[in-house]
Amino acid sequence: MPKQDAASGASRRIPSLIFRQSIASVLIVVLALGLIGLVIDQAFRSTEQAALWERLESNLFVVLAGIEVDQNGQLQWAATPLDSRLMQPGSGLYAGGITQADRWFSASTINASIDPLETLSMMERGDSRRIQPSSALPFYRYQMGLGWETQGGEIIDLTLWVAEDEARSSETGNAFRANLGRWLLIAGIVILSAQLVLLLVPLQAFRKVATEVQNMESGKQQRLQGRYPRELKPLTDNLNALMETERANTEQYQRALADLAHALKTPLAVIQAQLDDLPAHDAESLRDTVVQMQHHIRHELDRAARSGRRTMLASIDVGPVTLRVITSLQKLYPEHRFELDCTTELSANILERDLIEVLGNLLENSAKYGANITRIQLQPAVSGGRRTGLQIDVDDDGPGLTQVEFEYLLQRGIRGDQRAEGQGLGLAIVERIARSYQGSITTQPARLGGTSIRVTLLPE
Amino acid sequence: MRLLLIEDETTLREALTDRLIKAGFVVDACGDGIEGVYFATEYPIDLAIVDLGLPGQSGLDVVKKLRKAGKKYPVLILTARDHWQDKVEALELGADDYLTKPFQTEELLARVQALLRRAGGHATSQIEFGPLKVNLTAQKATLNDEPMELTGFEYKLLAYFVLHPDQVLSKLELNEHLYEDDADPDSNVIEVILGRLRKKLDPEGDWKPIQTLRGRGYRFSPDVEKAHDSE
Repeated sequence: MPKQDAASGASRRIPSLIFRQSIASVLIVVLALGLIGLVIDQAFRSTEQAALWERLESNLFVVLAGIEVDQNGQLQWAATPLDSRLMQPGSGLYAGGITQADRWFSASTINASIDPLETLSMMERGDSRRIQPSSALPFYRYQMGLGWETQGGEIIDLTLWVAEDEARSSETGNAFRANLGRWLLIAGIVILSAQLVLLLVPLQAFRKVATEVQNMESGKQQRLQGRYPRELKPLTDNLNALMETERANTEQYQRALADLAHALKTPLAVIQAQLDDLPAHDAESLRDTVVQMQHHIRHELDRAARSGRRTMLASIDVGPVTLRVITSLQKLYPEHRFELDCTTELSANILERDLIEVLGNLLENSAKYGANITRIQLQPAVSGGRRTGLQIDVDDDGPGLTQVEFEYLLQRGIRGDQRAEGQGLGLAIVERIARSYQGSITTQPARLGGTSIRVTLLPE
Repeated sequence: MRLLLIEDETTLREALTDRLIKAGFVVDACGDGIEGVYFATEYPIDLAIVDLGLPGQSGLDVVKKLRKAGKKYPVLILTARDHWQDKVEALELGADDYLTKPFQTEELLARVQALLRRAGGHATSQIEFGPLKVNLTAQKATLNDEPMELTGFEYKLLAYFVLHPDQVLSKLELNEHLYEDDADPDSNVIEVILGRLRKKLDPEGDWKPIQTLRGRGYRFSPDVEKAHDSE
């Protein structure tokens, strides 16, 4: 149906709150943790750099303390202990000294590929530089130009350098970043899980409202009964108030219709009662008019009553309602036998007054028109929706109705041209109620020998 | 038979009262629920006709109250509400039948007769006691299949007796149920009519369907076998 298509289309377009909140949470957490990671990485990098230069500088002074330059500019290493990495071949930390006549390298340079370092040029005396690694020289270098005063008082130019392999340095950074990434991932998972839980807890209240509204729709309850958080109270209270107003309006509407019926029919009864004082011919024609008016009033009031129906039909226990009708009819037809076949827990989403009207008309017809026994069988009818319908079978042992008579009686009731209240009107009322429930009224093969009528009521 | 009619619409009440009196009933009529409850509980009523839409107190309240007061006589509801829910509610509260407005007066009379008959324990409108047959609908009686010539009061008295067989009915009770309020309960009218009725029912004087119980009243208790024997 188009209505359903539109509804399902709308639900496709609007994703669920959980989905939307989850997507938003994932985006926010990824962005936030990414930024945090970036900031920490930057802080780590600058700290690491500062520590690196400091380390290189202090190593350079250690080298300066341990190195000796003779008058010829030859470099010699005094046996001063060095940073163990400078003593360890291939450790990644290298040092060296340069004069015009000689070059000195720390033990760590043995077997290390430090070719570019071997050809470093000398610096100006008093100059010092921190040099970032480049593709040609992948080392962090700190180098300083000095003037070495020999014992003879001669000043010899000396350049000292300390270098650290860029690869070694970035290894530490990479290990830190990998570690940081792992912890950020764990933090992200924990935060998202917590957020999901925090999201689901308040949504429980919405789920409860949805379940209760569904129960109201299927007629299992009349109002929202659960305890709800303060934020939802205006919604639930208003919904309850709305339902209450609808209920009150329906009752008021029904009362107003009853009053209207009284106001219209009592004057008719007055006219009817005074007809006996009129000449026979006049009385007959007036009587016809009164009956016509009576029928029109009933028809229109009936239609008005049907238009004032409530949207959410409560579920009623069918058995007790049927027994009420039977007990009442037993008072009017004490000799008639009514047999009821109905499971005790049978319930249906039908207005009680509609069920009473259908049963009252069907059962009175069979009691009125010659039957001794009426058998009533009630079964649930599937309507496809959430609501339960009802199938009513009424069989009697009266003279029975042919299909043609049955159709005629239904038509007669609808056209409103019958002259007196009777089976036609009763059946027509039942037919109207059945139609308002998307149901039907049909005759069945007689099981007790008389009339057999099946009415199905299928609430939407 | 004394009927109570509670109907607020004056013209309808008066028209129905006239028809019911013409049909041989004693009628107490009133137009609101409060007065109706008073009549229903304080007067010797045989049947009440109650409109549902009454000022003061609704017809349903009247029925509820008269039943609560222990009154067991039949109640016929007049209602403009022709839905079965209203009928079921009225019947559950103690009404015995209903009639939807507008209605034909003949139908009202037929329902009243049927309710009175059912209250007297009779399934049909033809009541038989040996040679005596009383048709409550046609308001005629036959004795040995011969039509009885009865005055209006004689028929009323006979009908009251056949609807209350084997019951001791005091002269006061008969007065109350068969005459208007202004009738003098001490007058001899009942005795005179009863004497005439006895002669018509038992010309030979050997059946004695109506017995006099000295100081207590009368009892319609016809010995059916004896009546057959005397034929």
